[in-house]
Amino acid sequence: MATSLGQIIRQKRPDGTRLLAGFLVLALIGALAVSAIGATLVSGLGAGVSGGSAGILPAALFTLEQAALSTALTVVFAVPVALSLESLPRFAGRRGLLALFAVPLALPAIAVVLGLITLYGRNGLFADGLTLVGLDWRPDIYGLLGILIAHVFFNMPLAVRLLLKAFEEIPQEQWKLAESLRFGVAGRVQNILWPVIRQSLPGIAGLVFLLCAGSYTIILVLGGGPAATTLQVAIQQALSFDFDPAKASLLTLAQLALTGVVLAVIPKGQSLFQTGGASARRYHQAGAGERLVSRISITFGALFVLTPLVAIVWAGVFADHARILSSNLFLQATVTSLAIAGCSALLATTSAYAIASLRHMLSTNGHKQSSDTVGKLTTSLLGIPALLLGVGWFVLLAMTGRPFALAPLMIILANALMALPFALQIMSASIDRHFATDDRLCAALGLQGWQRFALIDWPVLSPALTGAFLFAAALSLGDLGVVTLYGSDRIITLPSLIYQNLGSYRSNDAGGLVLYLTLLTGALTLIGTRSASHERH
Amino acid sequence: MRSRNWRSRLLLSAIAFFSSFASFAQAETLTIYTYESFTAEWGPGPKVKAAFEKDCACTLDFVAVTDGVALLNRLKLEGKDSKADVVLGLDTNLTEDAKATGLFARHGMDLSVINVPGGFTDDTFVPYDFAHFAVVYDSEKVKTPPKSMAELVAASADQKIVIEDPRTSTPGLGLVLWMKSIYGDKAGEEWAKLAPKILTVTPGWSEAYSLFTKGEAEMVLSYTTSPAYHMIAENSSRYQAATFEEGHYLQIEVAAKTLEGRDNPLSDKFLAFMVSPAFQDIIPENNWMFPAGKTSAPLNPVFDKMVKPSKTFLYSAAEVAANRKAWIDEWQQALGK
Amino acid sequence: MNAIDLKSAAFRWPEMAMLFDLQVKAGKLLIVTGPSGSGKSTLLNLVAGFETPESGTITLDGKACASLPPSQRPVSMLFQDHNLFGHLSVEANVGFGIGPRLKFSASEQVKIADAIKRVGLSGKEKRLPHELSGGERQRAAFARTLLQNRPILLLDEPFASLGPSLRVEMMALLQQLQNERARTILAVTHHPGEWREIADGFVFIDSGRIAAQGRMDRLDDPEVSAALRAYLGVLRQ
Repeated sequence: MATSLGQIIRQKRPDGTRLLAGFLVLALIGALAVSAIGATLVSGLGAGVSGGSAGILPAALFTLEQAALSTALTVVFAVPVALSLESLPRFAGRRGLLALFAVPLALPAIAVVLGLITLYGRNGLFADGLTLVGLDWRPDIYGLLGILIAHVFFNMPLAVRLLLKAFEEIPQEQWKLAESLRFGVAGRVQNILWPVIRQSLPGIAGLVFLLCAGSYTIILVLGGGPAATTLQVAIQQALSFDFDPAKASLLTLAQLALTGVVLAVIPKGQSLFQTGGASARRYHQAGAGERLVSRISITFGALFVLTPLVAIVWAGVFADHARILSSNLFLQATVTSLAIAGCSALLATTSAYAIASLRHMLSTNGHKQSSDTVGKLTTSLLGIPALLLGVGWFVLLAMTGRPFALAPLMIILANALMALPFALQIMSASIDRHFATDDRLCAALGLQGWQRFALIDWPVLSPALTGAFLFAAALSLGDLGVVTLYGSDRIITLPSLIYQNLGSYRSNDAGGLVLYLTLLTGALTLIGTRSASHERH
Repeated sequence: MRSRNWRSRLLLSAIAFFSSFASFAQAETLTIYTYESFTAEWGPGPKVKAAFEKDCACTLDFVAVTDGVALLNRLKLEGKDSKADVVLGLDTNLTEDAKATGLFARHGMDLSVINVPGGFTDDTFVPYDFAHFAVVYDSEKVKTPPKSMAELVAASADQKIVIEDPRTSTPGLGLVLWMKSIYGDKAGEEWAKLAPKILTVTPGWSEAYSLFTKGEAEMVLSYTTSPAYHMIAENSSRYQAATFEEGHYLQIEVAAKTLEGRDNPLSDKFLAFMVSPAFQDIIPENNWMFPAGKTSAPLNPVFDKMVKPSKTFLYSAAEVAANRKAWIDEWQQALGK
Repeated sequence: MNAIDLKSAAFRWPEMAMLFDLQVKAGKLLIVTGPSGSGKSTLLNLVAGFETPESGTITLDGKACASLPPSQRPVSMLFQDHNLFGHLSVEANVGFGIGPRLKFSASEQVKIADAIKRVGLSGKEKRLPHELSGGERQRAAFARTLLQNRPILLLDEPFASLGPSLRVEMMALLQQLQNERARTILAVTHHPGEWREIADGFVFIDSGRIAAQGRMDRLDDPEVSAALRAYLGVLRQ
């Protein structure tokens, strides 16, 4: 059944252009990533490796340990919450809750850390509450526990959303059969939901693992000490005090190897990205016991995710808002952040569109394996620290003599690459579904190129593409990333302004800025998820 | 009127962003690389710029990165292509590394106006401000602050301190050097004793100080000048620095001209301006450090209330460069268990 | 006695209001036909309990069912697709006809084996659904409805995705099973002609109403309904 790709292009089939475009984008991204790592390595080797490999092994081991534990915990919490949300398909606020579940992932780590500390810290609201009821016990979240709480906060809502998305693929007939066959809650979970969980969980867990393995600020602030040193911390160290680019790139290669192993053990054919179906109606009436358990579990999950968000808002409410809002710097930083976020999100969305089209074409032409590989390659971008991309490109641009002339472009590119895997994840299912139904019809009608995009693809795909764009923009907005490397007083983003304030005793103003940044990313993700779920099919 | 103002500001911001790197080569421009909190709206940068430009009919151009360490890395990355005429914001722990890059030129200045504890001589780097590292505590929670490092190390673990990571931050390294100055070969053991009192180790000063002011820890590693900020800007004497009998470790911030900047007459002019009262007046209440040179008027009396160390510790830049790795390893060993 | 008895069962989609009156005698096989979107599937869903009528009564096997959930109605159902759970063997899928569990007593296992034999799938008990042909999958689902042992069977185009010869084969099987023990069957189809041999009568639905019904030979009666004739494509002579 496999159609040779060369054949598609030689025969000038209309989809040949899409195939070429997809490969071109993939090649460009590959070149950008490889050149960054290569340049860092070569430049570092030229200067001599000073650090050697000492400390890489313990760092790698701790990376594995904390990421594995975080992933396990995320899954353990996400599955019951997802099952409960599945069991209660209609209650007031369910949609809003799920939309809010998309927010944590896009928040800057420092905001989350401060939010969690406001809540669970030694002097946090939780401790205050305990004092009120006469208990003098103080939570200690500095150490592995804090890292795990933060990672579960980031990833549990993501896992829940992905699981619910997988549940939507279950055909309506199976739900009807479940009723007809008198399945109780156990039968439904065991025979309908569990097979779906088993199939989609490896992919979800893999994604969560990668996100946890790449975390930095959380590990350092909540880690409690140098015992919590991950590869990412070692990379940052190599790029800061030690300034040992060769070591940094070696560590990055180690991190990528880890990423590769994780992606390789994800079972074949069950990629991170699933082909969607229409969401099906449910027919069961949950019994009183089931409803109670579900409500408790949803309440617990919602409190766990929402309270830190509220804490972030709380921590920012008492800032001097008149002063912040009237400052030119705030306006400039907001405009700059939005401009960078807009550009990188556009780049991420178009690249993801090209790659999703490529993956669809590969799998429909009998190259399922290659299609999976393309998906995994894109996901492996999560294993490359943005700062290393920045240093690598810097070294390359230095050859032109004016490395800073292109600084805004570099910042945009780095943010786009970081957001790409998520953009792809958001749009993949819709693109697969749309192309599967409309591709042959378009070919038959001779619709192609721009005309086809404007008349057919955009009207159908605009909700998914807009959703991906907004989420990518939110991710980019919250990212401090390479701005610090290229920074000058002329490029100030909201995250860098937050750090500027924190670095000058102005933590009150910083809290206010974190609040605005959170509201902004939150608004983008909320509109984005709404858009992505309003598919016209 | 209000909305027009808002719109024009928006437009200006947009132009500023898109033209960020459009023009570099203007005549009569001095380019200074420094760190962000120096150029912040509320930092000394804008005032320094205004004061310098008033006399020279030239343009002073700041390029700012996160901190002193990033500043040095940026120079290493750029090498000979660097556009910097002057680099401002390295500290004495970094000067040896900085010299090794071969990018800096000698200042040839008379530094007799400079007055830093323990004195300072260097043919390349010129000090502009200083402060000692100190343990800052919350006086509402700590009734009897430690009077020495020994007391801090021996204290019960009820009261916590936040410190910075020496692998990624200057104050973190400062504390490692401080402990080394006091305890020498026994530093590792003392670190191990201090460990239970350490709440957490943050990547930089900003995170540590935030945790402290959020009330997460009773103490934080900061500077002797930190209380001055709270007293002057917030009118609060809640946060105080503890005087340690053994003495305090010193941080001196320095600037230097680059080889590139040697050809720009404005470089020398700036370094001379930097040690003059016009610049030094700006430092205390904008950079929250002690001025290294003379000011035109006495400092705000608040600065007199700051800790006055009986003894100042400072390793030479060469010693730091030679031992940094080993000492940080020792720290990591002691705390890593 | 009527096994299925709908009296003024009303249901409303945003685009169409429906009202059904239908009586089916026990042991009869009726086909339900009509244009797409006319309400055939809604009628089946009302009987099965997947939709609840706004008003009217539904009596199944002598029991008032209008507000009962699907699991409490004396009804089993077969769809065009997805009748089996993909991760379970034929045996396990068929076993669900006895109860929602995976462990069965020796006598129950005999019943399961017997049902599988009656639909001609002996030897394929351990296979997974994707290892079966489309016809075999529907046979397995049939076997399950045998064990469910409910007086009413609803078929929602169960043979539509099978080829012509398979359809004939499945009809034969259905007829054979019907001869052994007659159930009351409603079968939705777009091809009433194929059911001439085994169906007892037809119901023609148009715009949410039963527009015509009768014995199978009445399908050709020019007096029955113009809409039915138009639907069947019979030219006016």
